[in-house]
Amino acid sequence: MALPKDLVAASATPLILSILHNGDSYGYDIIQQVREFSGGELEWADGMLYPILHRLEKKQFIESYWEKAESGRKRKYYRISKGGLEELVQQRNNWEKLSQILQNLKGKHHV
Amino acid sequence: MFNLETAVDEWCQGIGNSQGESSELKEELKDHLYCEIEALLEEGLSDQQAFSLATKKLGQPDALLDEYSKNRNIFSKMCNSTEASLSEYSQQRNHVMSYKQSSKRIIGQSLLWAAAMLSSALLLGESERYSFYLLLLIAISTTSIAMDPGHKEVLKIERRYICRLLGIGKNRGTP
Repeated sequence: MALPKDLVAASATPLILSILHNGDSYGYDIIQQVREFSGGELEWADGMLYPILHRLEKKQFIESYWEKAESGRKRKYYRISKGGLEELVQQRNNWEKLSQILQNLKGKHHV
Repeated sequence: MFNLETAVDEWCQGIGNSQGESSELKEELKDHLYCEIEALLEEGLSDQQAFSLATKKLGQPDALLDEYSKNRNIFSKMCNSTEASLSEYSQQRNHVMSYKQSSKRIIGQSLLWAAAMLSSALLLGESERYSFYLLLLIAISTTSIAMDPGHKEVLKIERRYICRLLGIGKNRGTP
């Protein structure tokens, strides 16, 4: 089952930051990783990633640099910045908090 | 004969030129396209099939740019707003049309006509027939927008758009 749009949008930043926390990466590879780690549950539209990456770069959560890939093509890589790391910790806390709240509420219906 | 490199280059050329970061963006999207195409070629697709599927997945250059230009300038804001009116309209009418194209066209036309009126006003400022020409131009522009093939609703939408801009007649039912 595909996740609804608003959740996909809300989770994009922590997912990208998590991936870059594991190692520098580039657009196409980030999409592949998302697909792989979500077991196919989360399918990103290719075009949606780049505007988000550039926004994160503007916010200085990530930095970019160009390098020649094995294919000989120029490739834009992204790495996480210090600010991005702080943001990641914050976002993880938020998601955990929310999931905890949902857990706490489970099965507590009023009689 | 289909040439993959030419096709990719041409596709990338389709991404607007006016933006500062666009050449970097082009390079980045080009690399993405090639990654996707290579993966598809490995699955046994032909050059042409791989190219068309990869570009389809990435989206149209125009749509991509729209994504980028959101909140960037007044023009795109106007486009977005017209787009909203258009999509609202077509939802009500259960009617499909390409809002992005239409909204750009409407605003482009309006700007062109506004420019034409302004320049003629400047040129004819001294002339007695000034108001006659201006009225004529307004009439021509209105008809040209109204006659726009396939977009006869445009005028209604423009009215709605202007109402929205002025903040009046909000959420009024369909006429």
